[in-house]
Amino acid sequence: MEPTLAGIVGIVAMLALFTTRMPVAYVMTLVGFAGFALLISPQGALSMLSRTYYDTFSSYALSTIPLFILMGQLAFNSGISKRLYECAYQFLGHIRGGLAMATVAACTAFGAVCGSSPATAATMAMVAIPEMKRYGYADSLAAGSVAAGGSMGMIMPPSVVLIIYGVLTGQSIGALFVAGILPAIVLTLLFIVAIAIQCRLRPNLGRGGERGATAARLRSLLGLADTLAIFLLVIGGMFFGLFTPTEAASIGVLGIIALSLLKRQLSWKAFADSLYETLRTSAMVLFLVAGASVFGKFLAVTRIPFDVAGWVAAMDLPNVLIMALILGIYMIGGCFMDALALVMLTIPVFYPVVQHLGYDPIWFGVIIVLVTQIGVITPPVGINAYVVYGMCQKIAPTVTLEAVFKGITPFLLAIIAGIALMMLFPQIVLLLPGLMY
Amino acid sequence: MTEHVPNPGRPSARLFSGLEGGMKVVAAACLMGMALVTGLDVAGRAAMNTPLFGSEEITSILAALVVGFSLPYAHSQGSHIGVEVVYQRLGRRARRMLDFCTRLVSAALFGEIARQMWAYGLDKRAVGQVSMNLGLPTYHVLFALAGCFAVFALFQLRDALRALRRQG
Amino acid sequence: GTRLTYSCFFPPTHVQSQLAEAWCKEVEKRTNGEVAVDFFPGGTLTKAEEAYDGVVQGMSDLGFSVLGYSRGRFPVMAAVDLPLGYRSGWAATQVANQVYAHFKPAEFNDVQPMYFHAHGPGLLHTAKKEVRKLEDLQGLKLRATGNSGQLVKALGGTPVAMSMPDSYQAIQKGVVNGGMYPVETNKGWNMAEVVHFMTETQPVAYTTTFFVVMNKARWESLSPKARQAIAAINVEWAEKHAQAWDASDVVGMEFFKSKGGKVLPLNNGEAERWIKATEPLLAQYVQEAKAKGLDGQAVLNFARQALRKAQQ
Ligand code: NA
Ligand code: NA
Repeated sequence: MEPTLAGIVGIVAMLALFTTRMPVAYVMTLVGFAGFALLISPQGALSMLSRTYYDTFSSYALSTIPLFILMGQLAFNSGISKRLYECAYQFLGHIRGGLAMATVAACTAFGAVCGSSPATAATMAMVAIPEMKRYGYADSLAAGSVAAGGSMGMIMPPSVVLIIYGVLTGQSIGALFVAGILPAIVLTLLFIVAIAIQCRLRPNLGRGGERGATAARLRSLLGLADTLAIFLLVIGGMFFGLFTPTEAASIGVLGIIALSLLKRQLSWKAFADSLYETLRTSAMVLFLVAGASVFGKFLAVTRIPFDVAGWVAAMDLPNVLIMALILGIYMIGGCFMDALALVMLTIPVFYPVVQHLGYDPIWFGVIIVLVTQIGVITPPVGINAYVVYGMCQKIAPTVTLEAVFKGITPFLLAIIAGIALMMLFPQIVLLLPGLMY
Repeated sequence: MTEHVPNPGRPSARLFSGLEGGMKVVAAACLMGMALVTGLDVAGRAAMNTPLFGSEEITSILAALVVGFSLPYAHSQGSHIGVEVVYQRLGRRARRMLDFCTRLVSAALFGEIARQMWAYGLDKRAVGQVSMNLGLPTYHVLFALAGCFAVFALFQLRDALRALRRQG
Repeated sequence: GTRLTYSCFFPPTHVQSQLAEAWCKEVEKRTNGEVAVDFFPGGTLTKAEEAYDGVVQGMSDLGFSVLGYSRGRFPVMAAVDLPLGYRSGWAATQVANQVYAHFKPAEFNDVQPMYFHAHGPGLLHTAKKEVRKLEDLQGLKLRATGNSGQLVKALGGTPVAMSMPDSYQAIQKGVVNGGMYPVETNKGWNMAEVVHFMTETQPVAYTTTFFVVMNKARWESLSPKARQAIAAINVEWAEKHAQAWDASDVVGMEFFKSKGGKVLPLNNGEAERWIKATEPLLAQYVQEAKAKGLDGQAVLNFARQALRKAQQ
């Protein structure tokens, strides 16, 4: 079969198989395997399958995932996240959707130290969704804000995609990181606006409560002092470069265990539950990553990403249209493929074009990250959406996959608005690096 | 997804729940091991300027074992999510047949991965390949993972048969 | 005609990847289209660590990666990566191809090697501390993996193993104090932005050997004429890769200096001390080869002699 045709058939087959309720990760594995076998060789495909699973499971970069999930679990089971949200409620509870806003801001803070989207989504889902549910927030808002907020793991520097982009194009990684900060903050604000608007239109999504008294606010804040110390250690340690994300997560796990033992807040059963729940969700997340990776290898050998990039590069259109087309391709491509693989395959073709059109390379790098992160929250391969849904099965069983995707929609619009804003005002991206480099 | 509470009296049910429970404990131990090894590394680096060389390799190996040994547990907890929209609208008979087919395919898929991992481990052992920094014989990890995937496939097979026997 | 797939882990904009891609085009041209090659850069088909195994298993027909990623698998060729005192990538490439041609080691029986090449001298780079003598390395945490990690340890430093993308941040933030790597990396991974000193440690410079290999069955399925054409291209390309490594080192050095980097010489009489410190590593190589029934001393002697000739 013609590789391009095989690619299209593969995508259709994947969509069709999704309807059988076969787990999403299995379907991506199966279709990716079959396609690879067809285009390369059956033995090559069998080897690819086992190697990709082994690679994913034993990847040091991904080992942050179980550790951060465990940290979230321990925070949940020892009551830390409950107290955290009680405190947030004291301060923000009177605003409609206030807890969802706090969650998005927390995601951005977490993203400032963690380079992975699914890890951010999984950790924050554990901490935030049960609490938002407790305060009567709608499934869609609770799940949507976490799934979308999780994309901040990649958008807010440090970001793996920015590193790879810097290496591919020879741009300064430091400048790219600095350039990514302001857009991430703008996007966080847009997310908050999106929450405010939808809660104004439909107050049921997240009702406002009583305004907390000053004394109660201070008391709730004081009660959190020790917990905040741990979070400051974890986040500050990563920020000041004392440790890598995996190390920070381990410190967080050990710190929370020590603290809860001291304060006798963690029973043996709660500890064991935290471990087992972490196993369950880690397996779920890593299967999704492995499945997406198998499918990505198949898409690579169809050469569709190369071909599409080549066509666009050869088109004779006005600059803005070409740029829009390129961004459109990343948006659609991100729906079927992991952001990193997509960037790796297409940047070499697009980058010279973008430079030729006179766009700033640093600006383009940051925009690419934003655009590919749309992919992690949209079907069919929206890893964050599936991760959040998977987490909810235990912690908030009423949440359906439709609710997750529905909840994501306003945030999707916010990202698109953000990209438009940054196309109109490139200064948002270029201001900080201009000052520093 | 867990529509069955297994009858603990039957030997096969005891085997399955024993496997699941035992592997779960190994996985949990590996998970705590990851946190401890990494914590030791950081503490060593900060306090005595003696980081644990190659701790990344140990962490990665433990991470692989964490996921591998939790496969049966994650499976019977129904962790791997699928899309329910269309499925929910089907009749009971159609659902049963669909479940039978998808689980059989899954069993074959993961059984094959188990076989390939085993072969991969044999290859690595035969050529004498070890890990880059610590020189650890990582083929042991592959053998362990092969075993985990084999058990995982077995669970899929059991569920396929269950779907077939299911009434209605 | 035949269509082959070629997996390379270097990102597509890297000159080594571009050379590999040029190899593909040259093969198509000189076999008159009998053999066409689809090129997959950036590890999109197989990752660096699995590229060799990927060729054996047929995940790709051709693979380009690092021998050192499969530690223990290439006991003869591993001699080339030792800290023998390389002064250029060209010399290291000569040594690699000569060792292979002379010993025809059985470790490559499961593939058809195309050619080998190797990067320029792996040197010591530090962020804040100036290193001029062996004692200065005490207590320094240096990013180094596998082979270079053993070198750092032998010299008295503390090796920290981490991936290249992590290294930039780790050095920037002071988690490690520097690294052992070839000069080109200063530009290739922007390391010059975070390191400020380079010590002229050429007397104990190691290298990293890269391989390009083809699936054996695919090679044997090609016509004798095509195989002959490819063999001729391989000889030329080994030379091109070697020259590219040295040219990258020049660029890396310029970039390093443009960022304010300072090159430090070893103090008087230090070179001998550093060389002496690496001797246990060479002895260990011979020992490990012996355990696999190979005459490691003969390989080592041959490699040293080839290097001496290449650097004359
Ligand atoms: Na981040
Ligand atoms: Na998507």
